[in-house]
Amino acid sequence: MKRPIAAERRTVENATPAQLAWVAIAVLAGGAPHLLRVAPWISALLFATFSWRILAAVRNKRLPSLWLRVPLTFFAFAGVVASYRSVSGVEAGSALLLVMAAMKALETRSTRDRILLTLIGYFLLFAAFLREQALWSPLWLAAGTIAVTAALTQTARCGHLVAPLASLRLATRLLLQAAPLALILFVLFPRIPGPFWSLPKPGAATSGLSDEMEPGDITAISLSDEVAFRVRFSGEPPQASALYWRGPVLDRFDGRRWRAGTRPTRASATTGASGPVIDYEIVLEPHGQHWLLALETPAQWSMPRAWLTGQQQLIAADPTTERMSYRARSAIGATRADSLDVGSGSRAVQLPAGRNPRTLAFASRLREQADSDRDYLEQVLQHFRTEAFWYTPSPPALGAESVDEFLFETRQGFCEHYASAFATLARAAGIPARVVLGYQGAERNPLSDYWIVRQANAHAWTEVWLDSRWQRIDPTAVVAPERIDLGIERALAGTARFEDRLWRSSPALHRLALSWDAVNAAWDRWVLAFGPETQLELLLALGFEVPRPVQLAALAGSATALCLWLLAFALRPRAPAGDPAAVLYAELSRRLAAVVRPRAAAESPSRYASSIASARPDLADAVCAITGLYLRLRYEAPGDAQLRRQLAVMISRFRPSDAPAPG
Amino acid sequence: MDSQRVCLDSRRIYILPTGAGMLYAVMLTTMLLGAMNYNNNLGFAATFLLASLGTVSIYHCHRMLAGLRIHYLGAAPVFAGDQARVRFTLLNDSRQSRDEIRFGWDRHQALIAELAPLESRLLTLNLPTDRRGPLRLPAVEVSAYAPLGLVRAWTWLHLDSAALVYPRPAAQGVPLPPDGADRETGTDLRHGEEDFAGLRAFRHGDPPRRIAWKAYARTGELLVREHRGGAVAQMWIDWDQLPAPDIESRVSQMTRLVIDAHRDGRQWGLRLPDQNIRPGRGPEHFHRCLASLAGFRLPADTVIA
Repeated sequence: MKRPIAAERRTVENATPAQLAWVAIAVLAGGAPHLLRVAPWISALLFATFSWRILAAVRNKRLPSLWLRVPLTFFAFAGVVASYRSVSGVEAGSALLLVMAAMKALETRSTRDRILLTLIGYFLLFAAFLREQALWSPLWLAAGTIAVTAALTQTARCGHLVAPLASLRLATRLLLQAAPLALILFVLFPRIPGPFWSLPKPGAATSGLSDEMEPGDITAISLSDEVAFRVRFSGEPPQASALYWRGPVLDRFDGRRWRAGTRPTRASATTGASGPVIDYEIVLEPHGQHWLLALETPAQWSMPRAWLTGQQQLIAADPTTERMSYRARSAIGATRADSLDVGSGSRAVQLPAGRNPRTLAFASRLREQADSDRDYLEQVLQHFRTEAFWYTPSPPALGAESVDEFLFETRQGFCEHYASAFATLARAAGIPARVVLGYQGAERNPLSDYWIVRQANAHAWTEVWLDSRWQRIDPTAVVAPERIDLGIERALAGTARFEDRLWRSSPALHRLALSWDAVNAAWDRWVLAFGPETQLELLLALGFEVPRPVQLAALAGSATALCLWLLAFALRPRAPAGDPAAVLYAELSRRLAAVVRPRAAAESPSRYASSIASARPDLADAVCAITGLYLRLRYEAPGDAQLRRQLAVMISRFRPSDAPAPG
Repeated sequence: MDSQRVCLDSRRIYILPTGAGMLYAVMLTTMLLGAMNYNNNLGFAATFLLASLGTVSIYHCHRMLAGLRIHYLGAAPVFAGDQARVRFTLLNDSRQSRDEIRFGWDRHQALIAELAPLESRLLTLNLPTDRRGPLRLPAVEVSAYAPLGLVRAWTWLHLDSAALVYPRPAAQGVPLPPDGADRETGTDLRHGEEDFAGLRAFRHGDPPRRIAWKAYARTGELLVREHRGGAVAQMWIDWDQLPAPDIESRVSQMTRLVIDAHRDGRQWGLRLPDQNIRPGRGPEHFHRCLASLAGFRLPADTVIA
């Protein structure tokens, strides 16, 4: 229904219930992902204030006075501080935004207030991605943007609102028109690695490895199928038994717990690795820690702010809080010319006095029998192999002398127990030893040619100083060789989590799970971990040489300009294509205007024709014929193709001369 | 200066962000910093999507005005102190709708017109008047905020036209000059009030008190009594015979007299120092006299060059 009045006066500055409802839609659409995560009282407060405000508009009630609002706002903010013990960071920040929106609702009257609330809706939408980036997040981005934009189109109106569906349609159209430019900006905007300032991240990003290990505390290892990282090898992938992804190195032992050294030192030289090299790209899931995973032994890596420690551990300056990708090159089975400096050397043989006495006694007995350090270590492994040791993911808990209890009583454990016991035995014989945490193995996804390393691949092994270099010895491989050769899944078939077992129960299901992971991997690699590396790779794939920053900026600028020009072209103001007959007739008037006079705005074609005929009798016949034809085409037989052709021919032949022909 | 019919050209449309647009830009900057800090790609995606959305809205806002046709229809004369009613037609001959076009002398008291595709609307702007003479129309501001309210597109319409403002009539009190003070135009023919001569059809401008209401009740037709004979009720409204001290109050009094004479259906002539208007009556005569008074010896600063 159109309004009968031609125009309407600007409404007074007081929001109607419908206008407020749209504002509420904007805040809820943006805030929905937060509402379930923030403290429940905040969601309740938001719902309460918005419902109250809309109700107040319906019933035409007065808004609460300043005397009520100021203390209420104060308490709400104090509540946020009490609930989160902070006002910065994603959690507290989004809680603050929601509280602000809730309080603002109580005093919303003017268009300005409503626009502010709607923009808060946009910001909440954005903040939700700092919490979570899932495969469905882009859908949510599109849907949320449409909802908030529809609300903004309504809020920007000063007269009556349009139908909800019409505003949603308009918002969708705007979004579709905005998408190409957004894509160009997304792909070409220069990505600068590293955070400018660090803010607390939402928790739970520290799954996976830790930088200490205490065998006997945890009585079950994680067998989760959660992805730790994904790998793409550029050449032939190495053997499964060579897939040792090094993480934290633990060399301090207090008798029960292994910890990393306090200050990691930088490697003195990064050269010297020899052996076959392998190049690969890792897309690392965020783990909230500084270490990066790399195959033994890393030689090169693409992260600008990362270095190798003296313990051959790859460390980044900033914790990994988002998925990121990096490329690395490792020398497999390298014989690395190392040195054992005084500090780390003494730490590598340190054992707490008086702890695990039975182990120490056993070690000294065994060392006396052995010919050399190497022989001694061989005999220790032989002991694991021949005695009744079991590999189990859920061993019994251990007491204070954990190594003693494990070696001589329970004899059940997983990698951490074996690594801890083996390193202790080595140290007891005066051989420098340390524990390395990381991942072992990987599962190939045949659908997309990349490898998945899961949390279930987490592993612990040892390194001993032998023949003037650190050498890896994995005692678990001795006890449960299938753990290394086949991968943990098959070694532990039947002990994994139910849902993980379900996906592995049939080849078809497993294939389905792998397809799903391939989709996720592509998403992670091309969207979530899209950074300088991927950007470069994409540009290379598109045929660009390795671009310099200036060229990249020029490319981004020109692509943006092109996109803007296309937008301007697509959205140029257009008059409707008129009736073809009218277009042809306009040509006649234009030609006559040059020699006689133009047609007046209100003059009918027939009157114009007779006026021309009396002024220029020589043109009378042609003008009257054309006008007659035009009127027939316009009013009697509209759309008649033959008449139209005839009219076009007549008009094209009509070339009036400047002066009447003599005679 | 614009002619009476204007089609808004792209080049004359200005666009600047509104306060909301500025806030939007600040919000986008914050988002960009946040996305860069957290290296959050969906954050980047959201930021760029909203930035593009804002950009697209600029084009749309421009399109609200570009190609809009505005016809100036004129303004009926009013007495000083009344509101002149200046009329326009807004014509949307494109296939897109033009949402909430604001049209007015200034931004805050504008009319708002919603134009569907191929729709036109009549808009009347009120213009306060305070003195007689031609009142040049101020520039009309045509603006649009749609679709998002982040930018404002506007243009000024400078019309080379003026509304005619009649003098403010003086308060009641000056008596009409006596009839027949001057009978130079003869004694017959004129429709006097002495003898009833019959009824004729109502013509626009006939004074209501001469309508034959009884005849109207009987026939349903508006008829007017006509009289014949005697002296013609005719008078001169004469500049020199009015006692007012200055030009404005004298013009004001003459205006009052013209209004009264017209109301009473009398015949009058207007005598000004520089022109005479022969006696007559009817709306045309009435407006001609008022226009003469409106333009009589205007102060220099109100004369349109």
